[in-house]
Amino acid sequence: MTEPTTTEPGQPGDRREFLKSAACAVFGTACIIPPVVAGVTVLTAPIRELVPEGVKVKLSSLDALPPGPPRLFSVSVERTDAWTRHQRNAVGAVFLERTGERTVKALSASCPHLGGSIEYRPEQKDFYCGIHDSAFTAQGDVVQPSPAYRGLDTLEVEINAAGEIWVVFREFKAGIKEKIAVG
Amino acid sequence: MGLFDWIDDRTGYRKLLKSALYEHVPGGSRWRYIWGSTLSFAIVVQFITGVFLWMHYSPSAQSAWESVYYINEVMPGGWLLRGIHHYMAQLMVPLLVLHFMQVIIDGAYKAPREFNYWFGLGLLVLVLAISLTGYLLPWDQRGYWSTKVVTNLVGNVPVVGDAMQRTVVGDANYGHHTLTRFFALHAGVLPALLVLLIIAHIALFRKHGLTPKLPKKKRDGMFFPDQVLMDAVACCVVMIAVLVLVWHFKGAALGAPANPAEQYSAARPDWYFMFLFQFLKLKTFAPDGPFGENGLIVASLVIPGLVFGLLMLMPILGRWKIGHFFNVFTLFAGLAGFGYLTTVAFMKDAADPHYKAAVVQAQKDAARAMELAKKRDGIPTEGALALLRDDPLTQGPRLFKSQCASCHAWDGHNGLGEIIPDKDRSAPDLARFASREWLAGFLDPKQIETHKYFGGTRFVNPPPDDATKEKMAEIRKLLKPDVIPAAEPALLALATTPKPDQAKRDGWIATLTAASLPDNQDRITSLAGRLSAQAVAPKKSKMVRIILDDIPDYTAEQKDQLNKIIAALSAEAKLPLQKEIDAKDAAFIEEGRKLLSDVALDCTDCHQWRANEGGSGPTFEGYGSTEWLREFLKNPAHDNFYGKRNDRMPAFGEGSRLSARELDLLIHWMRGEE
Ligand code: HEC
Ligand code: HEC
Repeated sequence: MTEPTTTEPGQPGDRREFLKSAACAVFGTACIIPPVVAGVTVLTAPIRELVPEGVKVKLSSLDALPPGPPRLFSVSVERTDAWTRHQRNAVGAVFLERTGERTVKALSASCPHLGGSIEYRPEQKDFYCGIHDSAFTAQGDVVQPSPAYRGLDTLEVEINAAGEIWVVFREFKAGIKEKIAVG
Repeated sequence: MGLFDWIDDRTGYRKLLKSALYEHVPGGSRWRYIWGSTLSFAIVVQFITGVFLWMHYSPSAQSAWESVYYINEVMPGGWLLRGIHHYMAQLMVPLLVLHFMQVIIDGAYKAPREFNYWFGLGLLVLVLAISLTGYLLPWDQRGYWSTKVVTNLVGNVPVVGDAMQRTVVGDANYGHHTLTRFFALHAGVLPALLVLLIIAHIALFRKHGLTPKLPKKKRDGMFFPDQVLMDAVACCVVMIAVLVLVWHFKGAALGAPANPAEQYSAARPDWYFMFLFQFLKLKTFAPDGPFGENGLIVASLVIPGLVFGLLMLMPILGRWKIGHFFNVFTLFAGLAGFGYLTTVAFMKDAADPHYKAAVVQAQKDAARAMELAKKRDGIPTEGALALLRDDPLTQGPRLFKSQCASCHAWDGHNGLGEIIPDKDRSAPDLARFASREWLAGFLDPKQIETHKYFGGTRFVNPPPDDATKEKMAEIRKLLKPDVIPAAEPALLALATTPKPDQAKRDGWIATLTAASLPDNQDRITSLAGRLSAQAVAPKKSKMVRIILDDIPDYTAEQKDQLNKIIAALSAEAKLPLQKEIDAKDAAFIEEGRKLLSDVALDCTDCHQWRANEGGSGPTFEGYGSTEWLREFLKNPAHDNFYGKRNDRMPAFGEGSRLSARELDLLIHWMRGEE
């Protein structure tokens, strides 16, 4: 026991009152913890999920993609959205451009600035996002001045013996200079 | 100036806090004052858990059950979240009752606190309404069918019933809008009203102060900290109780997905509404009871309305001492009635095998739906019902019950677990049909005549020949029509027992003469005597005779051959449950096949096998396989199967009794395939 100092309540009665108040706080907090913890656990479940692998999808074939301006293909995959199993679920879009005998270039149609949808403008021969006026060259590089920090995201392309064009579809973090896969 | 002073300057929160905490408690803190606080706590918990559930729930006929399944079974912590919400709702009812008891017994409802009491009644109704609307939201069989009862009751309200029912249901039938409306009521409208009423309730409580329990035991005290501490401890106890329930029951149950096409007779409301459920079943309210056609309205509207009116009047009655006494008495009488009806309802269910079977079946369906959802990595867009609709394990037993169980049994029951008594089993038990075990039993002289195999068929109990039948008909004409069924066994015994024991014969004849129409006794005696003298025992079928007469005399070598033949025949079925043993015994099975080709034991004299055309018996080619069963069920009287010897096995050909899809589901289930 130390001598009561001036800042501490002096009377034993006050001390009891203080302990009671502390007990109120402890019990009052304890009883509400379980529902909050349960709720927050459920709420934050998505944060703890791993970054999913990219999905490989067949988008076209060499025969169907002659050389010329880039063409937009929508990407549908078999996937589970929470509880629903979809056979074909639209998840995004990709520009494909024939660049050689057996080479194809794939660019994500999601703007690297903030995820707007990119269109190809044939007259200007460039890519353009109408949300914040980001523009990209036909090769996908940023045209200054543009709000985007990086060029359009390229996607991995595989062409099999039968000439089918398969693309590994992924999504990348928007708004930064580096290309980091997030889904 | 500190931060808190700065805030206080602008909000005056300290004064507010002080007036909130330093409420005067006459007679000091007491445990009996905790109920209001624990109730408020329960409501806060429901708001917290409710909001988190709201973030994951999807109110539509194709996604309600599915999203609840996802919360409960897939999301980490989801079972705990939903469990707390569910069991806190259950606990709120006893908390409400305790609070109500305290108010009545302590006289806290009396002047000048009438309005506070009435607000309290309003809160009671709101809490029950929130529970009721919440019960439907998981869209499982239980919630769906028991809520239907409630909305049908609403439809029976005179004059406005139909309009009210449509408004609540959102359509003529249950569907998307039923869920969106119930959800908006459950999570929006009713809670908002609840908050308003609680504010009014607590404000009035503060205005009039606490009603002390007399005599005061202690000095007057303050709300804080003594009473607050007791309240906080009580809230912890409530929370612990909820957690224990959640833990014990492994979260809140989720039933099988709602199926509008399948009535669920075991649908029951939550336990605290069971007394109303039982009340509606009382004979007094049946159409032939004292209220006649109005019984339903009296039970569901008039009487609850009168009871509620009485509750409303209590503060007025309480002005007089006798009135207060009456109120307390009414309270306990009401609780006793509640307890009695609830107990009766639960005891009736516990003693009802039909109810229990339905519950077990629903649990099986629920578990199966969840298992399939996990296996398939999700639920098809049409919803979980589609999972069950295309599942042999779910549909097979139901089809068996409706189409086959009037003659066949499945492991002794009707496919859904209800035991079939022997007298109602007139065809073989089909569990593990075509397995080695089944065939060995069929070919066992000790078993063939039991109900598990041919005991109930005419292969074992053949009918008399035509000439004998005519003679029997002649005698029947002389009997009193109403006693013919009772006399039938005696008549049959007489016709089919050659050289019977004298005493037995006289007994049978006596039975017939006793059943005679007036003045026919003599004629019956002479006809019956002649019938007995010419009696012939009809022959059991060839197959049954082989089993009864030949097989017991088999040599050791023949027995060995029979075992090989059984293995070979059973292997034709390619049953999943015999996959391993069929692979292991390949050589043994091959020997059996060869024996069949060599017409060993004469089997393939009658049964078609490879090049052997066979004869009267069902084909062994592909015996018990999917194809064999499909063809057999389509037409058992086809020459490949039972031919004209077919007993009563009906044809289930496409379009007649079973669709092609149903046939497949049934066959897959019978064969133990998914
Ligand atoms: C004399 C002809 C005949 C011979 C020989 C014969 N069966 Fe049969 N078997 C039948 C007939 C006819 C049936 C149909 C049921 C009945 O009439 O009792 C049948 C039915 C069966 C069945 C039941 C089929 C089903 O699914 O309903 C099995 C199994 C069977 N026989 C096995 C054998 C075996 C094994 C042998 C050789 C030991 C054999 N049978 C010899 C005529 C014969
Ligand atoms: C009206 C009575 C009755 C009904 C209903 C009935 N069966 Fe049968 N079933 C029989 C009888 C009797 C036999 C014995 C053979 C015969 O008479 O063809 C039999 C034989 C069979 C057999 C041949 C194997 C054996 O044990 O001899 C199978 C398999 C079978 N039934 C399946 C079914 C299925 C599946 C259903 C329902 C879709 C069904 N039965 C409905 C009376 C019935």
